[in-house]
Amino acid sequence: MPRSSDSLLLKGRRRPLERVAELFIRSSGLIVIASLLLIFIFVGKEALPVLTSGEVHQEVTPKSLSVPQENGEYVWQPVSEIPKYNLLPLLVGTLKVTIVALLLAIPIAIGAAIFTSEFSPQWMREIIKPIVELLAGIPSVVIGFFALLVMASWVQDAFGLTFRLNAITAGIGLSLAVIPIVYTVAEDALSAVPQPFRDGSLALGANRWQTAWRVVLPAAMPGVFAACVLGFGRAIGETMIVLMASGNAATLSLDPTESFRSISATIAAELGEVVLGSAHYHVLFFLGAVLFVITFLLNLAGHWYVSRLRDKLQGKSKFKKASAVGL
Amino acid sequence: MKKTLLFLTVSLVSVGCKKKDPDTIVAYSRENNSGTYMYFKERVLDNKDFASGVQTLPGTAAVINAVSKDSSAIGYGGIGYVKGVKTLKVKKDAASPAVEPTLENVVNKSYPISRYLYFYTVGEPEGIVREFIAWALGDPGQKICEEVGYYPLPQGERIVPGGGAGAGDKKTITVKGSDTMVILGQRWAEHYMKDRPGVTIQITGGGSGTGIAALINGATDICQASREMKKAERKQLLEKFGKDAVEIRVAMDGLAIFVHETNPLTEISLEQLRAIYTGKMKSWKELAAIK
Repeated sequence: MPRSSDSLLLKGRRRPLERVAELFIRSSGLIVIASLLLIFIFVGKEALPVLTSGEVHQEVTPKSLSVPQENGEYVWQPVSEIPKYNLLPLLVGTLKVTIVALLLAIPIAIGAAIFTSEFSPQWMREIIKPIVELLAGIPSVVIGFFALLVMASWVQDAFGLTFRLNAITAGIGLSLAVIPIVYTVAEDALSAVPQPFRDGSLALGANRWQTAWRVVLPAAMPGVFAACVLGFGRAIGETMIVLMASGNAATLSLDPTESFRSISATIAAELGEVVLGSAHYHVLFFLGAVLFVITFLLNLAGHWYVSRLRDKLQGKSKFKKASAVGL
Repeated sequence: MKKTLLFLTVSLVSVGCKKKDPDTIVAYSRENNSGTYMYFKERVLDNKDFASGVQTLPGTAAVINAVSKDSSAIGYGGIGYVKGVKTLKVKKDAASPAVEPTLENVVNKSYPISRYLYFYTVGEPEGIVREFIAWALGDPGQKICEEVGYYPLPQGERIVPGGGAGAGDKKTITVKGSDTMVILGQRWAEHYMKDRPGVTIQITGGGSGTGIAALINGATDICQASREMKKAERKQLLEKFGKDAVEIRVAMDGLAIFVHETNPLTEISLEQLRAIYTGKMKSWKELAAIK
């Protein structure tokens, strides 16, 4: 009897095919980590001369990247007699468009997620969800081109703006790319909230809106917040949409109706032309590293916050669960 | 949440209250990896920097598109692409006449912002590569220039260098570089391949700088460029191959200056262009004050 139960639990001799499959899965996991590490090392290696190399320092130093140039302006003008590199306009531009995109995308995406998971009938959910996810499959260059040709005119006419290409146009374009990501992850988190939560809330006299807003959404908050962090990562790193719809003028301005130049678009536009190993080349990789660090730090902070939220929720959820199960 | 919504409404309203200022000049340019950008900077801006407010777009077609939809815009680009916008006559200085970018004016060089388009090879071209270049510089090849919207070289300037037989079995030519020249290169390749079955020519764009980098990396036989090679690039190439880069003029191009179709302006001087693109002049009304 013990022998047969062993074989039932598949604990005995493993079949060779299984072993191959396990090896394959294990190595895929390692490959993902290794490639991320290699990318990190490569970018770091190419960016490092900005901090260390004397040759590069003749043109650009960490200090000159952040303080204004002689005339008191912050200029990014790498193709010039005297190349001028200043990170600030690019950094401000990147954050400006990211904020606009998130302000638009997060309320829409989370609203849609709440609707499909809590309010819509099942058949409607089965239509909306795949369609929103299809949106994620649209190549960003297509969204960018659409923003450049069509949306820019709409936005200009609607708001009466002087500049056709600006942070609002690019932000709207960008939000089209961010919405599906935030929506999908948030929707999954909301749907994963156990049904007894809703039953309990409704039984206590709350209406559906109160249930969705005060019970389900807080319970799903860690997942919803993670969705927002993912959306931020996508927005800050997105290249083609911003390259096409932003106008790429490296001005230091917080005004969302003005053109801006983002970090990712700068790398995309300039890396093809740059002389290998020149100061400009290393500065572009430094920009990449900056972007990487921002995303990494934000993800880290997001992770920390999510796990804190989860702990807090689990502390409370004992009571909730008990009452719900008690039904 | 309520605060966010409030903030959103307030910022939307404040944006809505801003009024379009039709007098502001919105200047469009190419990205700084473009040969056209470099040429414009050297020829028109006297090597001064572009103003940081100048908007740059990837590709001449994108610039033309943006200008065609923006009533206060101005842009520049290779003349072969111009469509749906109003091309301006250009004056070299206040005293000289305004010249239209036509075939005659570009070829006889009275149009002030015309340029050569180049092929670059590593060392003198040989064998099949030279044959292709010689064909492009011949009458059939130069006639295609015109069809595509560029201008043929004057007869005396069609010089084909080299002459070695080269490796006999080579059947593929790769050509990479200037986005301005992609259409021209493709048309040349089509016609050439039709005449000579068995020969394959691959044309790709990416920008003059990208093409030159590919030439230096040995990834292409011919580099198309809408600007001259820089000294640093020539040096890199010499170090890598021990051979000089050979420059071959293959066509001429006029750089058109264009504005929105409703713009009343008909001509512009180089001085005015310089003021616009270096950021000194931001108003259409005051533009006339500069001669």
